[in-house]
Amino acid sequence: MPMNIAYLSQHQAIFLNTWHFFIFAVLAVSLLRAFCRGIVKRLIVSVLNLYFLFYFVGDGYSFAVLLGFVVLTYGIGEIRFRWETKLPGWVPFLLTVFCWGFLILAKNPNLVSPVNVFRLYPIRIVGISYMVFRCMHYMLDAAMIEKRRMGTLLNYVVFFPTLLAGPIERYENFQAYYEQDKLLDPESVLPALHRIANGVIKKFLIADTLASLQLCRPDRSAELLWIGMFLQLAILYWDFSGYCDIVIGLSRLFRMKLCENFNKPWLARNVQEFWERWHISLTSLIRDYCFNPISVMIVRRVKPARQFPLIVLAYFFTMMLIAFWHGTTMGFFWFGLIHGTMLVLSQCTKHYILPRLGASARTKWMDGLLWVTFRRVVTYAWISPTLLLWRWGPETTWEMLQTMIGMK
Amino acid sequence: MKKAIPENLRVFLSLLFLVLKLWIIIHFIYQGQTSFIYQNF
Amino acid sequence: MIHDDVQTIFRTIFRNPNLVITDDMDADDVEAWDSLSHINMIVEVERHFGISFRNSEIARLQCVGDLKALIQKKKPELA
Repeated sequence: MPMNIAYLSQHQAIFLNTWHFFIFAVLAVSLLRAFCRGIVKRLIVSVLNLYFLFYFVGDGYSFAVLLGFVVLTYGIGEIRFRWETKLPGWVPFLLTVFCWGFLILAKNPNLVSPVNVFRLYPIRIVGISYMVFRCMHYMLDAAMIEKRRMGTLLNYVVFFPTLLAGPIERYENFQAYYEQDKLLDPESVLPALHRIANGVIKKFLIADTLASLQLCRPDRSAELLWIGMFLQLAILYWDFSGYCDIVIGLSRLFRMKLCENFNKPWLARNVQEFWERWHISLTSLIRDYCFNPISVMIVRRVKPARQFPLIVLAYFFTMMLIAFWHGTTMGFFWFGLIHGTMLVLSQCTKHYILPRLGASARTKWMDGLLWVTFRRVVTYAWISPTLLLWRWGPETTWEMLQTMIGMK
Repeated sequence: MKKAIPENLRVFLSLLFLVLKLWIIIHFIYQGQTSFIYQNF
Repeated sequence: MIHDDVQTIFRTIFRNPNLVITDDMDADDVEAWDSLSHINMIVEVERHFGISFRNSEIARLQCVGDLKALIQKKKPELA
């Protein structure tokens, strides 16, 4: 995983806080505002995409793999659209497994190394997880997509504002902007500029400054670790949502409306609500294409009395998938395990305890401001420490926790 | 109901705040290497 | 007819006997509407109308209006 970072620092990629990006963004917005229709706009979008892509794809081989994957996606889409009724029901399942397999093997070349082709030929593409997911969405939805064009699909997968880190737009929203010349977001220059300014302040002033303090490092004192551990989620929020603000605001300037990625995650009262409010474009995709098919099958085929344990398993499995989307090391495995367990516990509470409380007790007690605030604080307080696992892995995290409670 | 703020004033205030934000950004932006946690996904 | 039947299903699944559905209503508007009760609701609609949804159809449902339109598409004879 650190491969990409090392590669980027050699390669001087366009970061969002460089003059290079600033000039690129001004140019992109002026061009797309001046030519907002027809083939000229499509050409401009394509050139901008290619230019941006050049800085984030490592080499010709990686580019070829990416191109091949998108062409394959397009082909599968055509087959599914034409012969949907004749294809067996397990095809979507197979496609989902294929995309996940590709993603996980490509992200971690050392995984199942004897059969992993990416060990010998590693690909170096920043944002690959986002691209593969856009392709997966297209493959699975293709039977319902009326207008399918290779050019549109290519530009959708590598659309420059969302290339680095999403949001993972749905195909038809992009298509409406790209092909149909729809101005998705008329007249909002001033709000868009505010959005970008807010994003820059959140990402580069607040998040980066706090991150540069490096409060969460194994060699820090217990006090600093305590502060750092609880600051992590806030830093991550300012970092990622700030980035999304910049990208969404920028797209608004050329009248493209991207989907929102965050919905006040600090208001989440439990882990399930947290993942409904955090990185929404990712979690809604995993919900629609992984959780829903599994649970629909369970509810359709299994007797009601036996459904709940299986549904709970589906929740757990979905959480593991979300963890593995982020990374494939042991840290992410443990992250998924903890979040999955908490999700299971919260579902069990909903299923077994809440119905026994009675409606009046529920509204009086569960929805009372004090109790809701308490649940919000607790949700934040246990999710923030789990982020240690992303960066440090299970062993170092354990050592840091020991330092914090004075066992070391 | 309170009287709505006139449109011109609203735009003016909005612009003022924007300039303020830009001033903050230009003065305080951290110039070194940024972490950009998400680029490796 | 579709409207009333869907409303009855919603009232049962989301455990709210006074729920009144509107076309632009979505999961944010109903307290008990989460990922699991959503699935229960979908399958109940399938059973009630004797239809079956494809997964990509379920993925596209944004609000109650979409659901009603989809049922209408599958069962054109229902007014």
